[in-house]
This record gives sequence, C-alpha cells and structure tokens, in this order.
Amino acid sequence: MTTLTAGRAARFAPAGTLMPLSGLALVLVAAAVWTPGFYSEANLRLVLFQAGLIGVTAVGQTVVLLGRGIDLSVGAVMGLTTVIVATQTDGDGGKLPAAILLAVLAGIAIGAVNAGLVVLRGVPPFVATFAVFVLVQGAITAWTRGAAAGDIPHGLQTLGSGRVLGVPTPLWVFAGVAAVAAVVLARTGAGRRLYATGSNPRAARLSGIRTGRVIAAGYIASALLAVLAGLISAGYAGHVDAQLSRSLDLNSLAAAVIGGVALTGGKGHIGHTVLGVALLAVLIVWMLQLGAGTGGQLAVQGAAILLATWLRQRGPAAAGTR
Amino acid sequence: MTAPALEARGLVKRFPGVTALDGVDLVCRAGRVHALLGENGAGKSTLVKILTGNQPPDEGELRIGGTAVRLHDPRAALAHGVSAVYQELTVLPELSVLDNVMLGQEVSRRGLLSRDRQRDTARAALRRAGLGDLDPRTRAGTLSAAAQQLVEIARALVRGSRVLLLDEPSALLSGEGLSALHAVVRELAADGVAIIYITHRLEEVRALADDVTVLRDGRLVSTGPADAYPIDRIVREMVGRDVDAVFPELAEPGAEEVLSVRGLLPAGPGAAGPGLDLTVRAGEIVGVAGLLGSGRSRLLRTLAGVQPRAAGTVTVGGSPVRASLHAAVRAGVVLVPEERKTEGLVLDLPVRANTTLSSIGAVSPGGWLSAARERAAFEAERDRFGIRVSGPEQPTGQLSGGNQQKIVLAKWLRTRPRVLLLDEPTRGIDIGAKAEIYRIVAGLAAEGLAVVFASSELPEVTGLAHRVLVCQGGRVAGELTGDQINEERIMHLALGTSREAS
Repeated sequence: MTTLTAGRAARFAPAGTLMPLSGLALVLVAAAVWTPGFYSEANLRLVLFQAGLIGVTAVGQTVVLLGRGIDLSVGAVMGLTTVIVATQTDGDGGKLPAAILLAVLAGIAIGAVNAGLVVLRGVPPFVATFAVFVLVQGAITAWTRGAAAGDIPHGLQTLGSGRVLGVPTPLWVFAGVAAVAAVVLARTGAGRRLYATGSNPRAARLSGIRTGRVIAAGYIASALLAVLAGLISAGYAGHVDAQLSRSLDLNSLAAAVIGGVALTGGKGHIGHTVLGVALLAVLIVWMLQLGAGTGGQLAVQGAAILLATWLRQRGPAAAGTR
Repeated sequence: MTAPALEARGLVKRFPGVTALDGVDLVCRAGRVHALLGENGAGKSTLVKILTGNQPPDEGELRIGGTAVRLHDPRAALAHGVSAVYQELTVLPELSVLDNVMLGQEVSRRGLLSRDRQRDTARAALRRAGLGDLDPRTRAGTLSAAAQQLVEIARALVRGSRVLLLDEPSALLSGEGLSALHAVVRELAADGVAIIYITHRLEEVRALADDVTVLRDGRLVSTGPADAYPIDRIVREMVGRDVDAVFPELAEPGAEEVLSVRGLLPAGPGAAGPGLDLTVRAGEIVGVAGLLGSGRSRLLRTLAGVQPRAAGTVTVGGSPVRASLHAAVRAGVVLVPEERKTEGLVLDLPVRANTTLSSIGAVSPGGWLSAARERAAFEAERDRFGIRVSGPEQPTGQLSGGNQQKIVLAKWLRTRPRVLLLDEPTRGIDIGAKAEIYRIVAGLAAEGLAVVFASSELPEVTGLAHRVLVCQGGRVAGELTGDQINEERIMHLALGTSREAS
C-alpha cells in the first residue's frame, strides 16, 4: 500500500522537480520585489499566453528528447505555418481549413525528413534538424522574397488571442496537449517503447522494439505540435511580417531542459516540461518588462539552460558514462 | 649469469569476488622469447596489466634488470623499458606511419617538431621492425593488419624497450604476415630484447618460443624451456580442471527439427566458403566453441538477424526466416547477447519494465499499458527463475550479473520463443549463479526449446551441450557429439592442430 501511494505521488511530482520548482519560486519573488507591476492582470495574462505558446512546442521537444534526439527545426516549422496561413488565406476564413491542412502536411513532411535523416542515415539529430531548420528558413525567405505579407483569418485569432474563463486560449491548448502527452508517456505501450529507446537504443532494438518507428513518431509529433504553435502565434499576431519567427526558436528546448528533461534521452516527464515552461514564460515576460531587448532575453535564456544542465551534472565521472 | 630482464615473484591481484592472480612468478631473460599461455580468464591479461603499469599488484615484487621497481602507471613501465603491443590495433589510420611510430615520443626543438630527427629515428625503428622498405609518409590506414602490427612494434622500439609484451599479435594474421612477424620477433630477440609472447595458436610456441609459462585460474601451472612442452602437454595444462556437479543432467532431445540452417554465411570481410549447415532439434542444446575472433558470436548474431547474412537460409519449424531481427523474433529465434548491460537490458528502467521489454504489446491491451498485467508478468518470472530483487520497481542496474541474466532470459521467454541463442551466457557471473543459469537452460531445453549457445569457457561447452560445434577462423572446423566431447578435442579443433579436423 505504501509503495503504491509512493508510486502515485512520484508520478505527480516526479523526482528532480525540486530545482525547477525553487527556480520558479525564486524568479516569481524576484519579479515581485524588483518589478511591482509584474502581478498586474494584463502582465499575468501575457505570462499565461507565453506559457501556452512555448508549452505546445516544449511537449513535442520533450518527446524527441526522450527518444535521445533534439529538434532544432521547431522555430522554422512555426514560421512556415504562419506564412502558409497568411499567404493562402490573406484573411479569408473560408480558405482557412485548406491552409491548415497544407500546414499540417508540411509539418508531417518536415518531421519525416528529420526522422529519415536520423533513423535511416544515422545523421546526428543536432546536425539533421539544424540543417532542416536552415533549409526551411531559406525556403520561406525565397518563397516570400523576404517580405511575407498577408492577414490572418479572424477564426484563427480566437485561437491566438481569445480567452476562456479569463485564461488565454493558448494555455488551455497547452494544458490539453500536456495532459494527452502525460497519459501517453506514462500509461501506454508506445510511451514505454519511447523511454526504452531513449535510455538504451541498442538494447531496445535487440529486444525487438522497432526503435526507428518510435524515433520517427517523435519527430513527426514535434513537427505537428510546432504547426499548432505556429497557428497560435499567427492568430495572436493577426498578420504576418518578415520578422516573425525568423530566429532559431529554442524556447521549446530551453523549457524542457530547464524543467529537467535529460539531453541524454530516456529521462524526464511532462511534469518537468510544464515546470520548465512556467519558469521560462515568467522569465521572458519579466525580461520584457525590464525592457531587455531580444538579445538580453536570449542571454538570460542561455544562462538558465546552462545553469540547469550544470546543476544536473554530478561532475565529470557522471558525465563520462559510456 | 646476468639478472633476468624481467622477474616477477609472487604476484597477487584480487578483484571483488575473484582472485585474478594468485602468487604468479614469471622470469624473462634478455634475448629469449617467452610464451605466456592460458585460457581466457587464466590471468594473462591481468599479468600484462601489472607488467605495463596499468594495474598495481596487491602483493609480489617486480624486478627489471635486477632492480626492484614499482610500476605505478604506464609511463613508469615505459621509462623502465617495458612496453606492450596489443591484439587490438591502436594504429591511428589517418596519420602517417611516421607519426604513428613517433606517437607520444615526438622529437621537438623549440616547440616545433623536428622533422629530420623524427624521420631518422622512425626509419631506424621501422627497419628493425622489418618495415625498412616502407615510406614513412604512407597513411597507416592503408597498410595490412600485419604491417600495422609491425608499426606498433616499431613504436615500442622507439621507446627503447628492453622488454616487449606482445599480446596475441598473431590473432589477426596468417601466412606471410605471420612469418614476417615471427622473423621480426626472432630478430629482436637476437638483439637482446626480452619478449613475452601471448598466443592462442599453439603451433607458434614450437616455432618461436624459447621458454613457456602456463597459467590457469590465476595460478602458475608450470614454467620451463619450450623443448619440454609438446602441444599435448600445453593443452592438458591449460584446460585440466575438475568439472563436477556444476552441470545438470541433460534430458534426451526430442525428434522434431526446430531450427534448420543451410549454407549460412555471415556478411563481412572474408565472407566465403561453404557456410554453415546446422539442424537443432527440440530440446537439444548445441554448444559453439572456438577462440576469440573465431566467429562464434558472429554466427549467433547472424542467426538472430542482428548481423546481415551473406548467404544461406534459416528455417524454423519448416518456415523460412528472413534475415532481419524482427523476422527472427517473430519466428521465435531470440538472442541473449554477450553484452548484457548494453545490449540485453535497459539498466535505467525498473526490473518489471525489463521483464516485459520484448512483450510490451502483450501487457498493453489496446495500447494501454496495464500495470497489473506487467506486475503479474514480472512476479511470474521472478518466481519461476528465483530472481532476487527488492521489488518490481528496483532499477535493473542494481542487480547482480546472475539476476540480470535471468531477467534477460525472462524477457525473451515471455515471447514464447522456439530457438534460444545464448552468447557467453555466464560471462561475469559467479560460479553459484552460473550453476543456476545452467540448470535453467537445461530445464528450458527439457521443455522443448532448441538452444544454441556460444562460449569461450570449455567446461561450459563440454558440460552443457548435447553437441558441440567448434569454430576456427570464421568457419566451423568440426562437430563433436556424445563421448567425443572433451576439452582436449575441442582445443585441438579450435587451434587447428587436430588430426581429425574435418
């Protein structure tokens, strides 16, 4: 009985959540002390919106990380989705379903290319997905001649900037995605195969698990969630401009890693990701409020990732396990 | 008489649970080739590690040129003129021969490599190593295995070695390469180098050795001039040990032919020849013996679809099995790999998850992983095999080798296999757990499973198999059944010294 309760407790508060939790508390307190306006309603809503947007991609990133991969093409897929919706509809809601279908197909294709490079050719995930990121960004720029233009249909704007019960819609979307992912990871055969594959791909394969399919499913899931995030982001902005999502968007990776999902595969839970997302969203909004530019935000994010990974390593002996 | 070039007295080395060396003496004289012989696990590699400063002995003393020394690290050994060349080549293929020979001994002046002096030194060493005709600028990766081995010897010579340890230098060589190596070894001995030569090829002993030392189970069996060691004596001394109640009674195999293999040839360099024909009946246990690199593992891994086939057919219960891992698993051919920790188990996962690792679908009706079914599966296997764990949530990495191996077996048995392939089933497992594994395997065979296992431990092969295949140089050199199965005959076949080799 005790082991059962312990097991259940462990599922809801997985080991290793202490650090991101205390980090979150620390940042929340610091924001309150230094920036009095942080707890205004509008600002909190911004935090929740950011959390929703980042969270959707962070769930996908978590799935890829658990399979011992990494997905650097998330930002490119988001950008591509926005551009597809803007150019295909230019504000015409009737054309929205077709545009979304096109974006989903593009997402599946990009996820499949990532998976193909990693699974079939053994390209290191970092290299494969980075190359795909550059390729897609280049394609977007060439296609739009660097000046994407077009309006986003109103229907999508409810997804991006709407509210349900006072909470921004993107957060609800994230909550739904995270809940589904948590159940799949913890309670299905597919989840078990993913953890086994990420922990020890060799043993998993030799045990008869089709590790290639498992990894491929992870990249496709990540790309599809990036499409969803792209739709949210498009709906929020209401229009597309050349600046949108032109950066190597690492928020998904930062959130997962800060939350405690291991870069080495097979270790981590959605609970970690949710915490990391919350921490990162608070951090980003606080930085905005402090007037930090994009550069400052990036630097703080980078520092947070470094700190998180550094705290997680137990020294060179633990790192050098082969 | 001058002091021996190297003299070890009473060396003892203990590891947790095992005494790897138990009072071993070794005396090597300048100008002589000393063959160091023994089975795998006899203590040769531990001895080499001590002599090269890679491991300190727990007891015993070491004299080099009559002076007592302590070798704390490999550099100390090199400084005393002791260097080693290992079976696995450590030549860096992208570098030139010159750079390989001078590796770690670069001659530099004011921080820059001094090319001329480097080349002269390397040339001299290469000449002594029998590579005088070789252009030192050649990329090392383009050389044959034999030439690379000689490059390694040249590297040792640059270091001014007075004692040269050659650990199975001939394992990868044959024909001309082998004669070239022998010529160089004789030449170096004539120059006054003391050479310790480890080999599994006993014909080399007669061709090369002046002295012989035989180790078994970490103890010195005997030592003396090579003239006193006919091959029969060496084999007897290497393997002669008691095998008693460790092995269970084997049930008579059934009549049904479960596994049938025709002309099977693993893909890879040198894939040629007639290939393997093998039929295994239900309840039959076939042992595969052979030295390291003889193709034992490759054979099993090819059968399991882990490594590709160059040719041949495999049928199970009359149906052909394609050359893929999943086809093999579906047909009921499963492999318990040699590398238990990296290939057999996911050590980070709890024991219950590893028990069901190959049958996740069976505990996930409709895709939903059922904790109850998984727990039931784990408990059934735990009770069947007597697996000692604290509970289903214990991380698998915490278990002993024997219990880990039982989990690997359980993992596969849940898929109801028909053919069980075991690669080194008891490696790294203590003797008590070994006996348990033997009993389990014999029991599974009695239930009708066809079993093929590969092992480097001769007692295991003779004690657990109805039938023995002996591999040598990538092919099957012979097959022994019933009363024919004994360690000496296996050894002769494995070494290619048998008069009855088929």
